[in-house]
Amino acid sequence: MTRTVAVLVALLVVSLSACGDAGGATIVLRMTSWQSPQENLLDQPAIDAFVRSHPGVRVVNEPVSNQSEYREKVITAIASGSPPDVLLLDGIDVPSFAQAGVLLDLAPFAARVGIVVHEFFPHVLAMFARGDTVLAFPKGFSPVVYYYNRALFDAAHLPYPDDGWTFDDFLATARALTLDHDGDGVPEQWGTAVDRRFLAWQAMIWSGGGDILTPDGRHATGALDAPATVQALEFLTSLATVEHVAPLPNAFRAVSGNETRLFYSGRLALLPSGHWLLPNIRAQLEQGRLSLGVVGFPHAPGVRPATPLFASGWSVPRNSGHRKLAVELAAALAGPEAQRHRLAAGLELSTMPSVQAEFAVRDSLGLEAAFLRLVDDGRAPWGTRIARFREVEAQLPDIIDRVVIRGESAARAAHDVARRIDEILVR
Amino acid sequence: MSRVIVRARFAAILACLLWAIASAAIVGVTGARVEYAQAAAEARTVVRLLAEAPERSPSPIRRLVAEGSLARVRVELARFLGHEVSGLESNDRVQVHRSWFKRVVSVPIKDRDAWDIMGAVALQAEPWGALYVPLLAILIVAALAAGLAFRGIDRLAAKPAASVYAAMIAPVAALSAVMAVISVTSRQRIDAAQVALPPLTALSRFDALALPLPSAVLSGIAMALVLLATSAALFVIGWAASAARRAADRRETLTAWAFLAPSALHLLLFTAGPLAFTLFISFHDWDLLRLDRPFVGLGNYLELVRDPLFWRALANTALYALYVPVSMALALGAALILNQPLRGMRTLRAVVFLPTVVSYVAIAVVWQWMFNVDYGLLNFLARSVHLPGVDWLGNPRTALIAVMIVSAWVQLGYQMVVYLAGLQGIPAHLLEAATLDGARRWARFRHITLPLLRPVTVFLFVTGIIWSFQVFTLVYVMTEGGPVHATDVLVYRIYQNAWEFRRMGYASAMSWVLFALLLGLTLLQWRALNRTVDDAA
Repeated sequence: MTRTVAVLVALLVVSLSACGDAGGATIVLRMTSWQSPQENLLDQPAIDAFVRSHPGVRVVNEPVSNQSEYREKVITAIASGSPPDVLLLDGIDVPSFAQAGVLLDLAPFAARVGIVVHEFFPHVLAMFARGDTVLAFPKGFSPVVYYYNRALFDAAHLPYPDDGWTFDDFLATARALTLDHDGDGVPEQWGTAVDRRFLAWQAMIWSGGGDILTPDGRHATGALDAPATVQALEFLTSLATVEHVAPLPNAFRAVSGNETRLFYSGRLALLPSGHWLLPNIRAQLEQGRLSLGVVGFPHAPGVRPATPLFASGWSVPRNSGHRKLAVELAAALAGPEAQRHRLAAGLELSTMPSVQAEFAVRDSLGLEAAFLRLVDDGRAPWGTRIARFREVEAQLPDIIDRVVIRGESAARAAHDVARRIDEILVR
Repeated sequence: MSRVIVRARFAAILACLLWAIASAAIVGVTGARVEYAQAAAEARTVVRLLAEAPERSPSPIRRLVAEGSLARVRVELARFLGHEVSGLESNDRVQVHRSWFKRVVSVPIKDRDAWDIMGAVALQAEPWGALYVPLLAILIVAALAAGLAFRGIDRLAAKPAASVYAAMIAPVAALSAVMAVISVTSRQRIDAAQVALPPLTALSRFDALALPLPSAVLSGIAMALVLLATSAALFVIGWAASAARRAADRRETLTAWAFLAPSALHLLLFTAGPLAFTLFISFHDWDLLRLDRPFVGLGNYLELVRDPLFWRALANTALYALYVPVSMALALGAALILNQPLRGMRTLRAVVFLPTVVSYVAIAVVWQWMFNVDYGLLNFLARSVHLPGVDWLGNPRTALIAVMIVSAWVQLGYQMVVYLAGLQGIPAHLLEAATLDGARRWARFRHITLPLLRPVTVFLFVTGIIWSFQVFTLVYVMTEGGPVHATDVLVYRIYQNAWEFRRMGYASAMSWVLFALLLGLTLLQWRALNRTVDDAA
C-alpha cells in the first residue's frame, strides 16, 4: 500500500513538473539530410563555427542515409507539424515542396545572413527559385559527364576525346576501345556502358536534339516519341544490343555498380556519371594508380550538347520553430567556407563560380577545370520543374529495358511510355 | 444479491466511467484546440493592426492579456499566470502557456522583415467555457447507461434464456446516441471555426504563426473506437452475468478477457484505428504535403482497374505465392530427416533455422551477389560444369524465380521447425501399430504421418500465403520491381505510390484491395482445408 502511494506521488510530481514551462536555456536546432556519415563530417566545421557564434544553441544532426527513407521522414515530419529546422532539399523535390508552400522563402533574409544570391551559378540558383522566392541555398551540384580512363586510350593509341565530339566520334572511339582478345564473343574490355537510369541518359537525349517532355512540360507524346528522341534512344541502346561496345545494362537499379566496378578495374573506357563518383577513387587518383579524364556528352550533328545539373540545397520549413536561427544555420552550411571544405573532399562542384574556379586552379588532377567548362552546357533537369516527376522518371527506364531485354523497337517503347507519362501528367 | 451481480454491476459502472473519461478527453482536446486556434487568429489580427498603425494601441479584444515588447509581455504573463514563461524570444510559433486554471495563447510580433522577434500579443483562452454542456451530457448519459446496464444484468441473471444482445442493447444505444450528437456538434464547431478563421491555405497552415484546427475526422474515429470498446465491454459483462453460465465457465472466460484486454485495446487503437483511417484516405486524392485533399469517391479504385501495372503486380504476387507449397514440401522433407534421433541433429536444426532470424536486407544483399551474372556463386558453379551462366536477376524470365528461391530458403527453417513440432506430436503407438500390421515406410507416412500433420499444414499454408502476398524487402533490395516489372509485387507498388509518388490515396486503395484479397483467400483456404482436416479426423 505504502509503495502504491509512493508511486502515485512520484507520478504526480513528474506530471506536475511536466506541466510547467521548459525553462532550459539551450535552444536545439535540428537539421537533416540524406548524406553519408563521411559527408556529414565535412559539414561539421561549419556547424561548429555556427555553434561558437550562437551561445545557447545546440545543433543536432539527424541524417538518414537512404534517400527515399529520408523523403518519407521529412514529409511526415513537416506534415505532422514537427519539422527539422534545416533540411537538405534535392532539386527534384523543389516543385512539389514549392507547390505545397511548406518551405520558407529565404530571399528576404539572404543578405542578413551574409549570402549574396548573385554569387551562385545563376542556373543552379534558378532550380531552387520561383520568381523572387528562394527556397534553398544551393550547396553543391554536378553535371553528368563521361569519365574516360586515360590508360586505355594510351594503350589503344587514341587521342583523348574533346568536348563537342559527335555520336559518330563516340561510336568509333567505343569500338576501338572494345577488345575481345580471346575471341569468345565476350569482350575483356568494353568501350562504354549503358546505364538504364534516366539520370545517366537524359544528356544523350538532349544532345541528340530530343527531349522527354514538350517545352511546356505537359505532355510526353510529341517529345519522347519524336524522331530525334527515338534516334538518340536507338543510338544509346544499340551500343549494347547492336554494336556490342557496352555490356548489357543491368536491368534494375538495385545492383548498378557493375559498370563502375569494370571502370575502376580498367575494363571499361567511358563511363557516364557525375562528380559524386570521385570521392570513392580520390586516393587512387592522387597516387597515380588510376588516371581519369572528363569529357562532355557527344551530340548529334548540328545540336548543341546539353547535360542535366543535379543540385541540392539547404532549406528551412515554414513551420520551423526557430526561423531566424534556422536561416542562419542554412546560410552557414551553404556559405563559401563550408563549400571550400566540401570541395576538398571532391564530393561535388561548388555552387559559387568563384569558389569553384579557385579550386579548379589548385586541382592537380585537372578534372575540376573540365567540370567547370561543362557547367556551361548544363540545364535544369525536368525534375526541378515538374511536380510529378518522380513518377514520370520511374517510367523511363522501362524504355531501355524493353529495347534491350525484350528486343522491342525504341519507337514503340518510347510511344507507349510517353502515353503512360501523359496520363500521369494530366492527373 | 448474488456476488456475480455485484461484480457485474461494478464492472458496468467502471466501463461507463471509462467511457465518460475517454469521451470527455476527446471532446476536451478537440474543444481546446478550436479555442486555441481562434485565440491565435485573434492575436494575429492584433499583431496586424499593430503593424499597420503602431502608434495607437488597437486592443479591441477584451481577453487581451498583454501586448508589446517582449519584456513587458513576459512581466504581464508572469503576473497573470503566476509563473515565469520562457521561449518567447526565440520561438516563432504560437505558444500556449498554462497555469492551473488559466490558458494563454501568445503570438510573436516580428520586425518589418519578419526576422527578429520584437514582442508578443497574448490572449486568454477559455477552452472549458464551451464545454460545460457536452461534459455534463456525457456524465448524465454515463450514469443513465450504467442504470440501463444494471437492468440488463438483472434480467440476464434471472432468466437463463434471455439474450445478452437484447438485454444490453439499451445502454449501448444510449451511449451511441450521445456519441453521435457529440460527434455532430464538434464537427459543427470545427466547421464554424473554419469559416470564422482565415481560409486554411497552404500558406497559413505552414506559416509558423498558425495553429491548425483539429481534424473532425480523427476525433470522429477516436469516438467510434471508444464506443466500440465500451460496447464490447458491456456485452462481455452481460454475458458473464447471464444465469445460463456456469461459474467455472464464467471465470475462465473472464480471465481470458482480462489477459486479452491490453492487447485487444492496443489492436483497436493502433491497428483498427489506422486501418479505418486508410479506408478514409482511399476515397481521397491524398498528398501528405498538400492541404487540398479532394474527395474522389471510388476514383482510386476505378483507376486501379485501369492500371496495367497494378494487374501486373497482382499477377506477379500470385505467381510468387507459388513458392509456399514448394518450400513447405522441402521443409517437411527436412523435418523428416532432422527428426531422426542421431548425433548432431540439434546443431543441424539450428543451422537450417538460422536464415529465419537473419535480417531480410542482409539476406537480399548476399543473394544478390550469389545471383550476379559475372561473379555470382551460382553461375560459377554452373560454368564449372560447363553450363551457360544465367542472368538471374536481369532476365525477366528468371528474376521472379530467383526471388522465390530466396524466399523459400528463408522460410524453410521456420516451416521445418513447425513441422518438427507436428511430427513429435504424432503418437508413437500409431506408427508402431501400423508397422506391426506390415505397413512399409511410405505407407506409414502416407496414411498416418501426413493426415495427422494436416492441421500444421493448414497453418503453414495459410500464414505462408499471407506472408507471400506481403513480400516487399527482398524485391525492394534485390530488383526494385524490375526487370521490366517482372518482380513488381503489390506491396512494392503500394510503397512506391505512397512514398515515392506521394499518392497516399491510391496506395491506400491498393492496400484495401490487398486486404480484401487476403481475407477472401484466407477464408477460402480455411473452409477448404478445415473440411479436409475434419474428414481426416
